[in-house]
Amino acid sequence: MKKIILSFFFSIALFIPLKAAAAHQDFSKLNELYRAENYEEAYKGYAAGLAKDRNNPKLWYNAGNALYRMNRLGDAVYAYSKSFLLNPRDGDVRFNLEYVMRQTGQAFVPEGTPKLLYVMFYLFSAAELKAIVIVLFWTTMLAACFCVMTQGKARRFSLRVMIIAFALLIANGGWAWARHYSQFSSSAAVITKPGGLKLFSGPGENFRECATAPEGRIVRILSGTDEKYYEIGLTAEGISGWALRNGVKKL
Amino acid sequence: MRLKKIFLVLLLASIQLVIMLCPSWAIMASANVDRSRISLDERITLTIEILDDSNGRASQPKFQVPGFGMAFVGTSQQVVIQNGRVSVTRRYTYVLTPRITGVFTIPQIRIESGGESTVTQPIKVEVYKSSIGSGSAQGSAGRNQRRSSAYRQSAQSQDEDDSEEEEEESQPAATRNPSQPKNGITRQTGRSSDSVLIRATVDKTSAYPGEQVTLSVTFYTAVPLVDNPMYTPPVFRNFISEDLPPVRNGQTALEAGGMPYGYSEIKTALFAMTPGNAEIQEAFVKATIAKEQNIDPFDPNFIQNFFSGSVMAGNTKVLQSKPISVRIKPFPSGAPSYFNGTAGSYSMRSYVEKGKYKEGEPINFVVTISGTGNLKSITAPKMPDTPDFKVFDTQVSLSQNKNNDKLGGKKTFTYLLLPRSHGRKTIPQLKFSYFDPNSERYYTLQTKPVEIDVERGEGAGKNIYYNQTGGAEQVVTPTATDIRYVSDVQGNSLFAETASSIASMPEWIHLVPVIVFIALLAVKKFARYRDENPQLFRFKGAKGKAHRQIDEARSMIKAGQPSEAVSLLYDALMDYLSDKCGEKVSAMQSRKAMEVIRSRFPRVEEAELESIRSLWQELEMHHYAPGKADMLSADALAQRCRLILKMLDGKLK
Repeated sequence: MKKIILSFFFSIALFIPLKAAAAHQDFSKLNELYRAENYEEAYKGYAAGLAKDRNNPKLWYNAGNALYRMNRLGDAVYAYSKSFLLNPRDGDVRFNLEYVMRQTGQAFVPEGTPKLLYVMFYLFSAAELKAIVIVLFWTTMLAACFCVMTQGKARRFSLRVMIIAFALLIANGGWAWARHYSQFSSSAAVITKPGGLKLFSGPGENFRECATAPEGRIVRILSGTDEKYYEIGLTAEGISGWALRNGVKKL
Repeated sequence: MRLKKIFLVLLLASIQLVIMLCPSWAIMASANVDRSRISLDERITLTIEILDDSNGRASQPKFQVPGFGMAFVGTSQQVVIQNGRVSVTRRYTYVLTPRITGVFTIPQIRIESGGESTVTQPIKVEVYKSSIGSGSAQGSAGRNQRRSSAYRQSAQSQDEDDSEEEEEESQPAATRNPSQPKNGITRQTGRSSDSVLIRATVDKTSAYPGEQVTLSVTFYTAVPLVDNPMYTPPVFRNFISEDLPPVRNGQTALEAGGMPYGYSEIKTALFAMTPGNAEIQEAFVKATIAKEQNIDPFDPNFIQNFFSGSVMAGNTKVLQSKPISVRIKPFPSGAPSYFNGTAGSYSMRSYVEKGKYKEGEPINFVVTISGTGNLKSITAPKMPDTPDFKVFDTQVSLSQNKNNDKLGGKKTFTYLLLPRSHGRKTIPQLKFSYFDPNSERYYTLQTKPVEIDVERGEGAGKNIYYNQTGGAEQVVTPTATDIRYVSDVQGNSLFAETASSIASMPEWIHLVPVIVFIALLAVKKFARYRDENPQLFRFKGAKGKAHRQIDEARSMIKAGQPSEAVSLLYDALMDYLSDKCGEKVSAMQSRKAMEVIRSRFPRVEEAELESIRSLWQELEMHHYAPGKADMLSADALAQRCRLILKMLDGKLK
């Protein structure tokens, strides 16, 4: 059993560097383009990389930089947000996201919230949080099995492990639930249309225009039932309305 | 009727005649002078009289008289009502001061009023030299002689031919302003006979770039001023200027025996930038002087003049100096390599604060350049590259003085050096070249090499402060923020990748631990049930157990162990019957055992019971007498056991 676990982790450890080395050359070339201020071409390269690997936070980060240099603030906020959701512990990503959010009139850390608490809240990415939940679930279940199977001291130990794992699982579940309703939740989206986006009181331009969401604003998607329109909510202002889907990118 | 027509025609003709004649009566003007022949020292009063019957709408005439300075004295007005007609006579009075001798004409002066205009007649005025008019031939001759002599001297040195300059430069040296340089050139627009005048002078007409040229602008006044004069300094071209305060004030006479003037003098040091021409443009002074007016209490306009303020008001004059051009010579050839355009007269010295330093301890190497000239233009002498020291930015301080209207002082350059290693180190020589305009030669100054002992440092170096005065530590001030640079690191951390792999596992996999757990629970429960009901499980497992034993026995037979096989068949039958009956049958007599079977399983027939008993006895016999069992009989017994078990299986339920 021990050998199987070790070989599993060894294969993962071997696989990741090989994967990274294969893409490293392309990455350097794109960064050279960025360095030469050829942001358009650099962004095309980053976007091509993202088409293959949507979960690469560094590609999202670099794409965000190129978009910012091209003065596409909305897309830059989106790219940095994606990178942040994939790797929230990266200081550069946090800094740049905070920087562009400030430029678009938003606060990265909500007013009145201690920054350390906010950093802790986003210590893990959604995938990491999910993985932790899975591991805790398995630990709980396996400990329960041991608890059933064993007797005496071993059973008591298994019972303790099970209780701790279960408590952590519940706490993690609460954390994940809170994250679900936070600024960077799964229902969050970014206004990417240059100049902002008009909000209507219904899914169509025949409805009354009720607000304008500025470019780069992070919003919540309240409803996605319509083919052309999202119902989006601006949490800070307490405003909701319908906006064209092509001006909004879901995180 | 005819008379009426004639009267109407005459009336219209007379109205037309009146209309035609009206313009000639509407405005009339005349100009008069009190004298038509004056000396240079005298003045003319020009009076312009305007008769205006359009209710006095004629404005003050605007004109200039060539050869004369002109000052407006005032105006008076007389209103006459005659035969119901109102006419206004207005007089404008000017004082004309001749500037040069000759015959001049006061030109026609245009007067306009209510769309009508008229002109005055031109007036000829002759201006002669004052000596002719005064009649003191000898005195004037001597004065002319002195003027001529002064002019000749000036002409030899300055080579000037302007007639106006001739007048000014012919002033006796003794009568000049005390602050005026003896070899200076004087230019002005005013004359010594004016009550106020301005003069601009420079101490030299040619200079080298960076050499000081001193400009003096002097304002003279012989009359009281109503308010403070306003001075507008000249504009300089190709000059850098430096004020030379304070403003000098005093009294002087511009001519021997002439009227005394109060003066204010402003000096400026000028430094030319490039060879070629440099220019000092006009300086301006705006002064208001009190009116020279006779107040006649019996004048019919006295009350009106008094209340209109004309008695108290002054005349504003704007005076301007003439522009001055200065030739800027190029530096002579043969400039040393360290020369960077500095002119003046300088000396240089250098020092360090102490002779011993430690590694990491900064050294302040101070170089001071002092002398006369524009110190502001001096740049720090270049420190040669040296392997012994790392050279940081140089701090510069300037102490400037203006003694005797000459710019000078000292400029201190503090080089911050950091020894690269310990040992005896030498601060290299610094060189500084300048051009001395007085001797018209280049000079190169150099510091002495300074030797310093640098000892081994004690751990980390000290903080380095650029401020020699030991001020506060330099504060780093962020000037701008920007996004951070792109990342060269590819991919994600191992933790994140692993987490991603785990998170992307198919969800059904997570049912496995649940299923295992449930299965374990079931097993546990089943085991408990089994433990709680052993008879039942023996009953259910009797057949299987018996068949396994029979199979094993047959294997033994084949292996040549018929006795052991028969014993095993006996055990199989006993175990089967015991498990089915719930009692240990082997401990019973066969008859008793048959009763138990019959009571427990009523469906079993007597024949079947007989078969069991028969088999039992046979097996018992072979079991207890193993030597008699051979392979064939053992095999037959095994078959019989199997058949009986098969027979009983449907009955023992």
